[in-house]
Amino acid sequence: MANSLSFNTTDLSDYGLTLAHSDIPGLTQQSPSQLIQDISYSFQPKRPPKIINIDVDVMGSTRAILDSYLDDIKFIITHESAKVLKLDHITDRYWNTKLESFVGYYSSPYHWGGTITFKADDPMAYDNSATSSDHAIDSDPDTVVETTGGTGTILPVYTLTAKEDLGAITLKLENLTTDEELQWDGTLNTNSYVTVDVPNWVVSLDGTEDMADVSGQFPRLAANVANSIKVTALYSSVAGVLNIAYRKRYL
Amino acid sequence: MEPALPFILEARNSSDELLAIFENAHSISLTEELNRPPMLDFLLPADDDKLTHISQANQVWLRNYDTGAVLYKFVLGRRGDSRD
Repeated sequence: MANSLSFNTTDLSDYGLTLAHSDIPGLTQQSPSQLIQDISYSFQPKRPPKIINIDVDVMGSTRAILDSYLDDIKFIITHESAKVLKLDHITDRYWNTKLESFVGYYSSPYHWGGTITFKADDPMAYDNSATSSDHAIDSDPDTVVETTGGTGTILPVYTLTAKEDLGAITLKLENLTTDEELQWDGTLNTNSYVTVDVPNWVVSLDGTEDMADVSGQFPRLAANVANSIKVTALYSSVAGVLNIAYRKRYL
Repeated sequence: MEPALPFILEARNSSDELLAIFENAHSISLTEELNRPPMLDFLLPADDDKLTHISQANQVWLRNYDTGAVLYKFVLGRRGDSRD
């Protein structure tokens, strides 16, 4: 344990950085409401970005090395898009963040102390381990159970693979637990696969976007419960495969 | 469970086929006035891949995500860039 942090897979302990203190805010929700007479109507809550402040020390054996470390650190943590931020002392999860600020001062020729502030526009933390579950679909319809963890609603990627020629079908994928069902009309041959990308709201056939005959809702997974996933039309006589891939999310 | 979004915006081609769902649309505003067609305004991030579907040739449908009902269908009136 280096007591440091990594950003975009680069371990900053290699640049003399140690973590003095981290401040990861808890959970906030914004729920604006409109007052009408003596009652307010509430809008759906929104979760604002999470601002993560990290106090750090950077040490170098000479002033030149220290300056070089600071240059490298600034280069590594500056990106236009969000990158993975992991703290050594939080071993199970990460955030997708962008740099807000990098400020501090030299307390000696060999030491720089300061604060790095990251902003997670997606305030959810993601589990370090990706989950990928295969389920055999051997009846029509078939219902399988995916037991999740975490504390935040999960946005999975479903891959439904036919193992026989099914012809023209209406494929249905429903999470009975969340009451969300998606339908796709099309033709599935042996080893054809339909991907339902819930984070990006895209359905594809054999890797090519195929949205023309999609309707319904993209089925999310509820956190920390057994989700019952019902699949219709993926089986006639040879079992198809449903793969569910996701990372647990934490509020 | 609460729906992911109360309303969604769909890009559809001239044959009404679904092209994409604008899940990153924000600042959505619907204006309804007497004797005028309804107006829909919304913003998309500049780097959203689905921006290509915003064109004169296509339509945008406003759908109640919970019930599935289509509320209005729109054609493109104005498209602009906003940069900070």
